[in-house]
This record gives sequence, C-alpha cells and structure tokens, in this order.
Amino acid sequence: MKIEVLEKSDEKIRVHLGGVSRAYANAIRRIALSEVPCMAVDDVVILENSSVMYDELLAHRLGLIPLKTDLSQYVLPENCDCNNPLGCPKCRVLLVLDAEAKDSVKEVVSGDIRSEDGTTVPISPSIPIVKLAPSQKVKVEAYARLGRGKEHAKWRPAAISILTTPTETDTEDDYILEIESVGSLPASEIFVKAVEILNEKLESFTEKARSLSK
Amino acid sequence: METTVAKYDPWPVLKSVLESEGVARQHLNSYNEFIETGLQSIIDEVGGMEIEALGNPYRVKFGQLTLGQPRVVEIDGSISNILPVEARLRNLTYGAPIYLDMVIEERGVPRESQRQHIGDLPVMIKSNKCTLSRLSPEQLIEVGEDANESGGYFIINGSERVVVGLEDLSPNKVLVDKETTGVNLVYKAKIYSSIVGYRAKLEISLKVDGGINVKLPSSPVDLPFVTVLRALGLETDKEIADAVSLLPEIQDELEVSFEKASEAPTPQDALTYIGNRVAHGMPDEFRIRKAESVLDWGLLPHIGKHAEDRFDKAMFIGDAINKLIELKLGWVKPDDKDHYGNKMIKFAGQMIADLFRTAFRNMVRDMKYQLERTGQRRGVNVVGAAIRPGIITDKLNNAIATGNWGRGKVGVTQLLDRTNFLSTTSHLRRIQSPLSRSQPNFEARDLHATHFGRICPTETPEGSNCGLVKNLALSALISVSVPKEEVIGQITELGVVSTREHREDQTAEECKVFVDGWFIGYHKDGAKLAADFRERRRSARIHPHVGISYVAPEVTSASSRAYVYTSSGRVLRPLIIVSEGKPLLTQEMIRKVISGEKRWHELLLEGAIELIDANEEENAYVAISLDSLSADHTHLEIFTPAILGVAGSVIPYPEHNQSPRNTYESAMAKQSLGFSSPTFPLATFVREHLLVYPQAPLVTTRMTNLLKLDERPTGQNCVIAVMSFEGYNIEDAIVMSRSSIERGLSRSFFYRIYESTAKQYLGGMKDTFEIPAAEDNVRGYRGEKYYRLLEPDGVIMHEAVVGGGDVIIGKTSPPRFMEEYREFEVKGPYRRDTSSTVRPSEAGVVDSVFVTESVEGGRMYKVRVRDMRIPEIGDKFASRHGQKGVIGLVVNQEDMPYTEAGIVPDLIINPHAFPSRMTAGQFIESLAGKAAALRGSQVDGTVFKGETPDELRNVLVKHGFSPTGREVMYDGMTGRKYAVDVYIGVVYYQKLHHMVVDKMHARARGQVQMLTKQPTEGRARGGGLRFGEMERDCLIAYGASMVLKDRLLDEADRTELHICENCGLIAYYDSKQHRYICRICGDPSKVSTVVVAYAFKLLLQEMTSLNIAPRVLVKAKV
Amino acid sequence: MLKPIRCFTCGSLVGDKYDIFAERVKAGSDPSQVLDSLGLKRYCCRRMVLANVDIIDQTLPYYEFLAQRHAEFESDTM
Repeated sequence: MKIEVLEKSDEKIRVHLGGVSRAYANAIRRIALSEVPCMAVDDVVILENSSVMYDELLAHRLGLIPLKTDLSQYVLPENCDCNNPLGCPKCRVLLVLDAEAKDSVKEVVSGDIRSEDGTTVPISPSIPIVKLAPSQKVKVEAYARLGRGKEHAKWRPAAISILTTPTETDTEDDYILEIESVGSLPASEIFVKAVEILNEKLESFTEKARSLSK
Repeated sequence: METTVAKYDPWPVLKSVLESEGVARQHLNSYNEFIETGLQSIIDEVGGMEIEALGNPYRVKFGQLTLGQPRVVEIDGSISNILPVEARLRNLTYGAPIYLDMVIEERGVPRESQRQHIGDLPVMIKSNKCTLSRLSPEQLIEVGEDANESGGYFIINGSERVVVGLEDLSPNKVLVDKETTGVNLVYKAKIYSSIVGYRAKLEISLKVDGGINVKLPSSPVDLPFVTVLRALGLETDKEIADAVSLLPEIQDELEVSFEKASEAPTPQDALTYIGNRVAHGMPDEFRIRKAESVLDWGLLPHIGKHAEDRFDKAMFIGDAINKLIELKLGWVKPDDKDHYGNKMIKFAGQMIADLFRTAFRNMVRDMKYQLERTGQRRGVNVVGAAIRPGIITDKLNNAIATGNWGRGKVGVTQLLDRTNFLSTTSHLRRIQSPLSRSQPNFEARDLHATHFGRICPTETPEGSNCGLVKNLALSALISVSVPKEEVIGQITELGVVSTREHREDQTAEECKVFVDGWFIGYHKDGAKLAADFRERRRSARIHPHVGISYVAPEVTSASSRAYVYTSSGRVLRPLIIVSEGKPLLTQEMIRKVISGEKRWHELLLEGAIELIDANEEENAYVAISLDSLSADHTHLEIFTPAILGVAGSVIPYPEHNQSPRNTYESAMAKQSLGFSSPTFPLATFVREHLLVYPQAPLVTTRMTNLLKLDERPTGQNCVIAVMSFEGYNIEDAIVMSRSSIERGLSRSFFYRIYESTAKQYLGGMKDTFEIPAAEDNVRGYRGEKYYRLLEPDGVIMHEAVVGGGDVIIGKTSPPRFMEEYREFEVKGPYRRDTSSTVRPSEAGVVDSVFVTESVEGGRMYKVRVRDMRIPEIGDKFASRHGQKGVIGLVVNQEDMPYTEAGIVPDLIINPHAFPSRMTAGQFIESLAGKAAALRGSQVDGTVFKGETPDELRNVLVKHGFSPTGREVMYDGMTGRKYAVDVYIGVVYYQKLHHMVVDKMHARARGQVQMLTKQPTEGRARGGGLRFGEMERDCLIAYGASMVLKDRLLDEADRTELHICENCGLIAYYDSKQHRYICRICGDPSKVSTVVVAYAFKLLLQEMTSLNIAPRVLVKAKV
Repeated sequence: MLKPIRCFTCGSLVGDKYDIFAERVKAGSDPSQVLDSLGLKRYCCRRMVLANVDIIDQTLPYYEFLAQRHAEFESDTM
C-alpha cells in the first residue's frame, strides 16, 4: 500500500493511492463528500425581515454560506453530551445578522454576519445574502452546527471528490484521489478525516464481528 | 481571419420594428382606431332619434362624442381617476366614461344641447386613452406597473382579459371554386359583401346546363343573372354581355342564361320577376318595392345602398361571372380560400365596435321609448334622465368578462396568461379561427405558403385546435385602415378610367381595377399601374399599409385585374426593396439603425423597405439572402428567423429538430415557471409562480433578447448527462441530483390569492369580518382550531403557516332567509360562517394581506398564500426541444456519476429519448452550452443564423475538451470507469407548472354525490378514483367477481330496496307500524328487501315519473 | 432572486464572484480569462456566473419609490 501526495493546497489535494482496492478508495471518496462534517447554518430565528426575500429563502441562503470550520472545537450535535435540543456552546454557534438600508439600496453580505465565537465565520466576506431597499430591515439569529453532507448539501465540505485511474499505469488498484474543498476545511483535513471516519467504521464493524465470534 | 467587409445583416431593422411597435401593436392600433374614429362613426350611423311626442314631435340629434379619463365611481358618488394597478387590486373595471353631445331640435331648429354620459367603455391597457401610454419606464415603475408592460388587454372586474385576434375571410372578394354535387360539376363564385356591422353573402353558380344563377340572401330561389343585371338597369342584351366580357368566347357561354331570362325583357319586367320571387303573393306595388330594396340592401351592400349604386353592382356581378366562366374554360384556377391574402384578422377594436353598435342602438331605443312615454315634458334634463348608461356599460363589460359576444360567439376573450413573461407575450399575439374544431377542415389547418413571415409555422396547439389557433410571426404587422377616397384619387391620377365612362375603344385586355373589392375602373396596363402605385407608396405619397397586387392572366385572353387594399386586419410583413439586384437598404442605413439615429419607420418612408401583404407578395420575388440575390428579385428578406412566433423563436437550433418537437416546445414554453413580472410581491393574480433562481439561457437566440426573456427567463442551465441510471430514467423519466436541488436548483414559489368582500344586504344587514365564536352559535362553525391563526380583525397574520382547511379570512354573513328560522329556532336567526379557507389539498405561508374597498363600498381582503416548491419525484421538466419528463429518482451526489473534472450532472436523461424523436437540436444545444460556459459568453443559436457546431467544437478543443461533447465518466457508487464516454453538456431546462403536490390524491372514504350517492369526482372534492369500464372488464376476465361487487356496489352506492313481490314495484317500511307496506297492492302483500345500486333505484323512480312501471321480479336466492 | 451562493452542481462558492466578473468584463477583459482567474474552472460554476439574472434588482425600484413616497408623506404630515 502506498500514498503519494501529488498536489496539496488548502483548496485541493491530489493523492496517488497504490495497492488499495477500488472499493476502499471509492469509500474514501464518498465519505469525503457525504460524511466529513463541517459547519453550516441550520436554524434561523427571523426577528425582523422586511426585505423582498422571503424568510424561507433567506434561511436557505444563510444555510448555504460556507463557514470556516474548526473540527477540534465542535462536536456533532448527536455526539454532544449536552442533550439539549437547542444545543450548547460545544455543538452550535450563534451568528447574528442585523442590517438595515437607510437611504439607498444596500446589499447585505456575509461580512455583515457577526459570529459568537469569532472563528466560525463565512469563508468570504463578500457573499451577497439579500438586497434591501431603503427602510427595509433584516435581523436574524442563525445557529450553525456541524452536520454531514448526506443530511443536506450545505454540509458537504468538498466541492469535488473524484477517484480516477491514471492513464499511464495499467495496474489495478492504482488510483488518484482528488478532493477540492469548498473552503470550510482544508482539503488535506477532509482527506484525513475521511480516512479516519472509514477506519472508525471498519473498527466498529470489526468490534461487532469479534463480539459475534466470542 | 476576420473578413474586412462587414457582413450585411439587416437584423437591427427587424429589431427596431419590434422595439418601436411593441408586441401588442395589433391590439393597440385596432383599439385606437376604434376610439378615435370608430365610436363616432357608429354614433353618426344612428345620427339621432325622432321623438313622436303628441302634438309637437322633436328630434334628439347626436353630435360629438368624447371619452373621459379612466375612472371609478365610488359608492358615495365620488369620482377618481384610476390606474390599472388599482383596478387589478380592487377588482374594478378599467373603463372611461363616454360623453355624447345631444342637441334637441324642433322642426329642424336646434333648441338646447348638453353633453351626456351614455356609458363606460373598457379601456385597453397602453392604448391612447390609457394613462400608462404616456408614462416613461421609470414612471411606470413609480406607479407600480411593470416597465415592460406591453398592454393590449382589458381589466374587467379586476381580471385581465385579452380579445384574441379573430381570423376571418376577407370581405368583398370574388372567390371562384369548383364544386361537385353528386356527379355534376358546378362552378361557384362567392362574395361575402360586408360593410360595418352588416354582411351579405352572394353566390353565383354556373351549372352543367350552362345557366348562370345568382343566389341572394333574401331570395328563396335562385335568379337568372341576366334578370338581375337587367333589374339593376342594364337594358339591352349587349350591355349585359359587355358587362361580363367583351370577348366573344366568354359571351358565347352566356347564351343559355339569356334564353332563360327571356321572360323579362325590360328592367321593369326584371324587377317584377324578382319581386314575384322575393315577395310572393303580395300586392304589385309592394313587390316592386321589395325587389328594389333587395337589390339595394341585400345585394352587395358594400358597394352602396342606393339606386345610383346599381350600375356599379351590375359591373361587379358582371366581372364575377366573367371570372366564373374563365374558371370553366380553364383560364384561371380556383381561388384558394386558405391563401392568407383572402384572410383578415379582427382585433379588439373591430370586435368591440360590433358590441358597441348593438349596445348603443339598444340604449337609443330605450331612450326613445322613455321619452315618448314621458310625453309632453321635454328639454335637456328630460333627455338626460332618459339615458340609462348601464345598457352600454353592462353589455360591454359582460361581453369582455365572459367572452360571450352574442349570436353564438363564445370564447372571444380569454384570461391573460401570466404563467411567465413569454406566455403573456405569446397570448397577446394569438389568432383564432372561427372554424369549427370538431370538423376536420384539413386544408384550413395546414400550414400555407402565404403564412411565411406572417404566421408562426411551429406554434400551434395539438389536438382539436391544431392549426386553427395560430400565432403571429415576429415579422408580422397588422394593417390599419386608410381612407379609401384618398387612394382612389391617387389611382385615378395614375390613369384609371372609371367603369361609368362609356368608351367605344374599350378592349377586353384592359386591366380591371378594384379598391377593397369595389370595381373602380380600367387601366391600360395593370403591371405599370402596380409599379407606379408602388413607386408612390415608396416615396411616402401613399400610406405604407396600402397594398396593390396585379393578377396577370396565365392565359392571354383571360382578363387581368389589379386589387388595391386599404382595409385593416391584413397581415403585412416588412421586406427590403431590391432594385437591379441591389438592396435599397444600405449598410449605412443599418449602421444608423444600430446607433439609434434611425428607426425602422423612417426606412419605410425613405423607401428602403416596404410592407407587403399576402396578395402583394404574389407579385414579389423575394431573395432569402444577399448571396442568392439576382437581377430578377424584387425584394430581400430582412431576417428569416422572424418567420417564427414568440414561442418558436426561443428554441435554439430548431432547424435541427423534427418539426413537431418544436411545436411541442412552443406549447411547453408557455407552461414553464419563471419570472413573469417584477411586481410579483404586490401582484394579485389568482395563481402565480416564481422561479427562485432563474437564469438566462447560455444558448440563446437573438429574439430571446429582443423579447426581454434574458431579463425574464423561464428556466435554468443544467448540466445534463445522457445515459441510463439504474433504470430510473426509462420512459422519459429524469434523474436529478439531490445536492443540486438542495442548493436551490428549480426551486419555485406558488402563490394563490384568497379573497373575500363584505357585502351589504337588503334591510341593512351586512357581512362582518371577525373570528366566528362558538358561543354565538354560528351556522357552519368549523371548530376553534381552524380559526386559531386569525387576528382580532378576522384576518390571518402575516407569515402564518397554513394548511388545508385553515381559515384565512373569518367572515360571518346574515341568514339567507329571515323567515326560515322563526319556526324552528327560538333564539332567532343565526349568522352563517362564510369564511375563506385554504384549499383542502394546499398549504403554505401567508405572504401578504391586501386590505381595500370594493366598488360596492364593502371592505375587501385579498390574502396571498405562498408555497415553496422544491423539486421532488414526479415534478415535470422539459428542455427547449419538446423533450419532457418527470423526475424518476433523486440521487445523492456521491452516488451520481462524475467526470474526470469532478462534475456531477444535475440531470440524467435517457438516450432512448433521442433516436425516434430526432431532436438533434438538443445535442447541439448541449455542445453549445458547454462551449458558452467555457468561453464565457452566450452562444447564438438563432434559427438558420446560429453559430455552427463546428465553431463550437473548436471552442471545446481550445479548452481541452473532446470535440464530440463526450467525456469519460465514472460510476459514483463503485468508482469504476464507464466503458463508454458519456455525452454531457449544459442544456436549458424548464420547470413546468405540473407538479405532483398539485396532483397526488388518494381516498379511502369520503364525500358522495347527492343525487346518485356515488363517490364524488375530482381531487378538489376529495373524490374517488374511477373504476371504469376497462377496469371492470379486467375483473370479469379474471373472474374476481367478489372484488367487482365490492368496488362497484358495496363501496359505491349500495342501497337496500323494498320490493313488493306481488306487483314488483317499490314498497316501503313503516317504522311506526313496524311493517312493510305496498301502496299498490294494499295490505296483504309480501315485501322482500334486495340490495341494488342507488343509481338503479334512481332509474326506477325516474322511469316511474315518465309513466312507466318498471317491475322488479324477485326470486328466492337458491 | 439574488445571486445563488453556491454552484448548483458542485457546491463551490460562487456568490462572491459575480460582481468581480461583471466589473472586469465591463472593463474589457476576456470573460473566459476572468473566469479562470476567479478559480471557476469547471463549466458548472462558470454557467452560474454567466447566466445569473438578479430578479431582485428589477423588483427593488418599486420599493425605492415606495420608501420615497413614504418619506414624502412623513415630511408632509410633520
């Protein structure tokens, strides 16, 4: 078994996997898309919204804003010991958006969002959220939490995750895995996390298998 | 390498035509003509009325008519000017008052005069009377109106109604045809002579025996033509024969007719002859008068209704017979009824003129009656009091609101289609044919060569209306009427000699000249006349809408004719004039049009382009492109893609598709969701859709931009892979990526308006908006939980989440009949609950609440409920190539196939959708879409003029893609590379308004119909699903008789019926006496109970009511 | 309604790139190169930027006038 990093940056990682079965390699690819957690807004409390954009659309857009994710700081709500449906500082972050257009049309952008913890912030400050006409106002409390891609696409940390066969080699079990991050997590972290999740799954499976043979 | 010579592309000219005229010009022109001249002329037709008052009769003379501004009269009598927005919101009629000057004359001396309000006229949006026509786009926004508003429709009681263009046979034309009755060949000439509000058909037939007869609408029998002409004043046989033709060959054919008419040798005899037939058995004097009136009023009224017009009528008939004989001799071919030169289109102006004429006459009749009844009292005030403006107002409003024009004409107006911007535009350019849709009318439904550039070849519905409902091509313009006298003056100057001028040297070769079907005179050289006439028109001395066509005979001896048309409703199309093989529209002119220095109208006046009707086009030789231009050509097309209509021109590369696919797409484009109006947050259309993230098509057409569909798109560019996916996209299903959906692809909103008005009733009772209270014992109280969302004023709050059955507007009304309750209820009458509830199968969020006042002065609420529609299995989508399908599976991104670049398609369609349908256009679009995305600019896919697939392939290659449009793809579930490359690209997909949530329905038990006790029908009524004949057959064939009985009887309308075994009629059970009674057989009767369908019981009873005694013979069950 | 935040197809962030693209193309740059420089390599993301129609921009003017009228009304009644 061999791993060779062909290309690595925050956005993208390209790894050459040798001596690995396709099933295993593809599992990593799929997990990178669907199970590596990242932060996204999930609950939005609309305190005021006089904009043209409907509440449900505003919430949808807030949800889709990619947030910088620190996996060491937060846990998935289902793994959190707070048992609180509203969450706790360990499993959710409060983001506040309060904007008002005074005399002219104002574009509310992701930079206007204030984050509770200061680290879970939109990856870009200039993502448009809503446009307000004069005297319109938007005031919302948004709660971000960790989630998985299989639940909703907003929690997919990877934009692309592909497994290809290099054209030069003929050998089976020779793959190139390429992961491009949306920006919430560095690409390498997505890769590592994906491998970890797969191993955890395999380990817990092994455990189960062992318990059967006892 | 770039060519140094700029390409000759006159497209900006066509663009200028549509930009300056707008898409609804035909409606506006027609309506404007009506309000500017038509209204007054209808008043003038009537002129005034004689009041036969005892002693001294007087006359009320009608003078000048004026139209006020669009306004509303409130319940308190106050008048305020309104704009269309207010009319839509408050369910008002956008109409303006009509004022008429009335002068009272006594013995011809005018006494008093006053301006009177005679009724209200609905005002067409953006017509000259509409306030919006004077506003700039910015001002339109300021008043809350769409800046791209095209107008052309009416607002009646708040709903938008379009008077759809009505295709009709053009009047006053001689159409000759062969007909076979049995084995006999009959030659017929038909003329629909019509003047305003009156139409008379004249039929001339030439039978096998050679006799020529004329059939008048008022005569029960055919009349020999010689007699008719003689009655019209042609005394000698020679005069009559010469009226037909000067040629001996033609005159020879008349012999039989002359023989037949020998019994009436003088005009006086001829009149008597006609009188004997039209007024049989009447006194002599009367018969002659009747014959004269038939000739003056019933015969060719378009020529005139006076005795002095008889000569012209004779000449006209003479020519018609000439044409008929020429047909018999094989010199001319039968006329083509479907030729678009023989058609005219009536728009709102003409249609409303017909209505107004009858309404006005009714009003005058009513006035006259009232004034004569009042007797001696007179004066302006009495006249004013006799006017009932409601007669006109109600007649017009009712007709436009229902589309019911009277005399069996229904469906004249339609509710304006607001599904998306394209459907609105297309609706305003629709043409309807009055032909019956139940008859085949094959020829009438066919596309005709003369439709080129006038009627869209692709946009027509399928099914019963196919080919009868048409749409104007983009290049089509509808003519306006031009004063005839002016044109006659011009052609007289050009050497036309009147028919009345008697000349010895007259020959048969001379060209006969007609103006609007009126035989004016002769000209030595018809071709020269046409050429000279056109020369004058091109130098702006004659109105550009006037057309001339010269029909040269194919056989030299046949007569030549020139037709001049000044009428409105002809379909014109602009063409570039060609002189000596060179187009008169120069590059320089095109440049000026692009820069905005010139508009198309100036080019028209300069004689660079001209408007050609279908008749005149018969004289033209039109080159398709500059390359094919030769010295023989007379015209050059401006922009061939403009032969398509609105819906047809949004299809990219349609010339690569099988033609019915373009027709399907033309229909589907009108059902796709998009962005219909920027006023959507305030719009009060009953149903509306909004696509959340609409995109302009990457593969566009020039017309897409022109029709503002780049700003008001109707779809999204999707990444489409053509492959099978686990069998979930067979039979036109499509597979969609769940991630794409979650990121907002094809997300849309559906809005519905619920409205409620508080009415006032007789006796001071009124509706009140409130939360009905349980303790008030309100009839029809629904239960507390249904009212939970209402605020104290009885109306729901904003942003409330509502479901089916929830009350949106709480309202109670007074009891319907006061007396009804007295007997039963001690506490007195109770109020009824008349609240508005959310439709049982719908849900959503309360979007907006509009509070206003209706015309009756009651408070009115309009509540808009919105519902977000996220694509799900069963929602319908279509590309722009008639490829429709429903979602069969929504797949997780990681399971979807991916390309080497990591692209996961949004949609996967099945390759089987292509071979039989041959929509190659979609493949090219896919290629073009990909190329457009890569190179960063839209691809032009205009018909005949689009970028070629080869150019697009080069773009793909340049960006490192395969020129085939295929890419290597991997199976997302296994990571395995597919054995073959997959065709993948970007295609514009439309979400159609057929969504599962609006359709899915099931029922276990529920409502039944009152009459039959069978389950109701339809989803809205919670109905059952029909277990029909074929389903029944299946069960019989299968032998599942218990299932059959269960479905058709036990679970449907099972009833127990008591039958007297003695007489077989229905008996009953008397529960007081605890026994069965048969009223027929009396007491000692045996009654048995049988189980039957309630419908059967009903049948028995209905038969009984018809005096039939159906007897049921019962036998013991073995 | 307003610029989609993510590419429908792949989910990468495109929301912050529309204005830059429009600006640079207006300034005369080659659209293809601008897209490349913004990191929009795949045609799925490129079409998002190219084809977007902000319908909110067509709707807001109505509210601007509304606000204006409201302000006028306020100042009149004051």
